[in-house]
Amino acid sequence: MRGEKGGLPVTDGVFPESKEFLLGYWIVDVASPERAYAIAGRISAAPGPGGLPTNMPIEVRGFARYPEANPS
Amino acid sequence: MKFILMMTGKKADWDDYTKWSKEDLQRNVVFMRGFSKELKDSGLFVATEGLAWPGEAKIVRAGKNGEPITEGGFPESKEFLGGYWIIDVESPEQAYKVAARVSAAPGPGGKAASMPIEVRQVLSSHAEVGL
Repeated sequence: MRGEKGGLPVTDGVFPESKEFLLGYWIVDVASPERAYAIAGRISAAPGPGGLPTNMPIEVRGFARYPEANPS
Repeated sequence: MKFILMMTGKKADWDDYTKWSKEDLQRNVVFMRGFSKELKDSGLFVATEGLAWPGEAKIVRAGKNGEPITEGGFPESKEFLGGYWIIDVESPEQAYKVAARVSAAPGPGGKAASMPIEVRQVLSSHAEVGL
């Protein structure tokens, strides 16, 4: 999706095989990055086929502080 | 229907922002602030966040004993989420229109940046996928 002349939406629905797609996320408020990594490790251990841990990769990112993004 | 509008780009795309002039950044911030306010005023707003720079991103997996294993190296081709909005709209087409407005946010020199916005439906519960 990109804006075009006149602000009309131009959609494009074809993605390279290499593209990663977000499937879901959690937002956690923690005292340190290490605490966030520990929580992500638990999610990564969620059971998959046969009950074995999926070892699914979990991307962990901090938030920026943009007060303007959430005006009260 | 809830949709997420994601600003995604490769690390190099995000690094470009550090080269923008203060005036260009200011103009973009004013636009984004107005855009979020407009979403709130029109009742479409659900949530928005901006993420820290991709240089701080880590991938975490569970180790054998449940200890987290972190990795911080990413291919140049990897796309990183920079920020997102979640909106509640009547149709996908309405979400595309809102996404186009963000895509037209001013970039360097005040010209529309035409930033690509990935639009995906948000499923609120496992029931929605039959579980």
